[in-house]
Amino acid sequence: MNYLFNLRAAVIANRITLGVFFFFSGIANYLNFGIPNGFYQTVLTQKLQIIGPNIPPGWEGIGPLPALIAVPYGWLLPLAEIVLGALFALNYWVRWTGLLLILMTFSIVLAFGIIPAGSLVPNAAESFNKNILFMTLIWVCIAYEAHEQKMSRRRTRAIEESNLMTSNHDM
Amino acid sequence: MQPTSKATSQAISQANDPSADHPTIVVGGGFVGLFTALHLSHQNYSHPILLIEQNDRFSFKPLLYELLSHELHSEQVYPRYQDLLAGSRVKFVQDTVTTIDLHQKQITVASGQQYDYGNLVLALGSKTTYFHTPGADRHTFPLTNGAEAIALRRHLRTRLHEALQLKTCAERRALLTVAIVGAGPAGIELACTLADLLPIWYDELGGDSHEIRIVLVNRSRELLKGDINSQLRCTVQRALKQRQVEFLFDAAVSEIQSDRLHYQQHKQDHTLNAGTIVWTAGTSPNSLLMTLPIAAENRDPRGRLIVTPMLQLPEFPEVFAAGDCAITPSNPQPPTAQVAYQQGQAIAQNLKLQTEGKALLPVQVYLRGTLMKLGLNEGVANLFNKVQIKGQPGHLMRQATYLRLLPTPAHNARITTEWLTDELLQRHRPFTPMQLGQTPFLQGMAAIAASLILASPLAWRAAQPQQFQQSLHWSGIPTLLDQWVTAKR
Repeated sequence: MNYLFNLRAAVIANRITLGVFFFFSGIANYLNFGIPNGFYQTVLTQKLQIIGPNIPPGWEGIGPLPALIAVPYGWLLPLAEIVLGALFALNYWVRWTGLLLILMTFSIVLAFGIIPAGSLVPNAAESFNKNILFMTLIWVCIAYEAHEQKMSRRRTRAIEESNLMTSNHDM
Repeated sequence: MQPTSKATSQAISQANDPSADHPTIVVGGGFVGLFTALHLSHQNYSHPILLIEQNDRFSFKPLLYELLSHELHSEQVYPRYQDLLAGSRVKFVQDTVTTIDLHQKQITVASGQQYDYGNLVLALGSKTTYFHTPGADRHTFPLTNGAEAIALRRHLRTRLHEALQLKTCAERRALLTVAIVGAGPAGIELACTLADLLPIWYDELGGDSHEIRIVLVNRSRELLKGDINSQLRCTVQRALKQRQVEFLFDAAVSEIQSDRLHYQQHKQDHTLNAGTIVWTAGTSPNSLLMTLPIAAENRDPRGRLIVTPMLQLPEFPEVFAAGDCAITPSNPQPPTAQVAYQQGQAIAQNLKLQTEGKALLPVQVYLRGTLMKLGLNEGVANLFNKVQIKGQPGHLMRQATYLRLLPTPAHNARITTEWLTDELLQRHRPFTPMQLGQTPFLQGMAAIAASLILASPLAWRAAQPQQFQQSLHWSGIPTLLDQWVTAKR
């Protein structure tokens, strides 16, 4: 039972879930790359929603992205999802992989809008872009890693200071 | 190198010997003994093979530190002989050899059983020697086999728990002091491992890790004096210093009590309070060797048996000896696992040649360098005494090299796969790289490489679907992916 209330275990479970999600999301995007209304076509033709459809008037429908940005973005995003997702799940350089995943997720939020249904109280539609939750959860993982590193540095410093103060006569 | 005519005549006389129907007995289940028995079994040796060993488990000595720290578990580096020898032609007898009658070609074990042999392999190894230091045998922990490594781990964990109950810092520091007597490779590897490990364990229990002290006690001023690893002295010193391991040089240990160590330094008596005292200061050949009817000129000053280049006893050519209990004066070898492994292989080959009445071959040992563990996830590999690979790459190289030497291909493949997946996925680890202040650089690079390898065909399929279909049609992968995508839709 203690394990369920363990902060470290919770953060690890959260990190692995997010990493695996991005990993398979990248694979899925490559698999459905060229099909009609598939990933690549969406990237090339999608107009940026930013906030969401119809809110506020005049903001919707910006774009689509110029090909100079959209083509490399379309090709590299699934690759980035696979590599960064794997690294994030396996706990490698969480601070940097997490930061890149947040930026990537933010770009998706910009594309599909913060309130995709156009209202915070829609009927049977997604009221709030779930990618925002991903961003905050990744932030939790990054912050936890930074905290652990800080504690590790403190321990090392304590050992060093202790050794400096230790005299030989107490042997 | 050509075999001698003496060896040829010995081999022929051996082939005509009626006692050749008797089994070949291997005494001692260390590296030499076990590998001799296994190689004999693999090469369809015609005689029965008997391995007599007092322990029920094989201790993979170079990786005992990993057993202590839980980096590797018992089944990996402390397996049962019964499991290792399953499916082979080797019969295992767990017993202690009490007498060896070289003239009658007979062995007696503690249970009273007697065995006649046609050929004998003496692989008795060595035992810890305490140089008559009072209290050393009772109050110190040796580290020469798996059972001792596990006992030391339990003792250290108990000491950490006991220290948490104490109120004053001075009392805790005394209990948390680990004195390691002997600054040879074993002492240094243990000091580095414990200096990394104990703070992590104590920290997890809620203690102040800075209260832990590791003290290396050595009779001389030099680390690794006269050892094959002496070229690594600078690297070793840096690793010890980095871990704040304290040195007590020129210290001659005079007496050991349960919680303290008395020593003389610069003609003055001192005492070091220590909750744990580990003895790695020396070894001596097995006492059974002294009872053998071998002439003094066929022994070295330490009592080890002098053997021919074919690893036979000069007076008893049917008896082979190698490892820590024997020495070839013309070509002395360091007491390392890689030497013992090659000697075991060579003895098996010569026994087979002897049975076939062919001339025996002198043993050629190839030293490819040395390896040392310098803490958790850190090591040094000295390749051909020219290139030093340090840090995590050194650790990986050391671990991979030793795991390659594990007995039996099935055990070897299983354990190596387990270790590789554990390393890459960072699972079953008793500590995290963060606790050690390390970056898992190699594993991270491996994860990136694996991700790129996985992503490449997918990107190829997205960019050139026709070409991808045609090129990989034979593998069935395009069909599989198409079905998957269709199923998802």
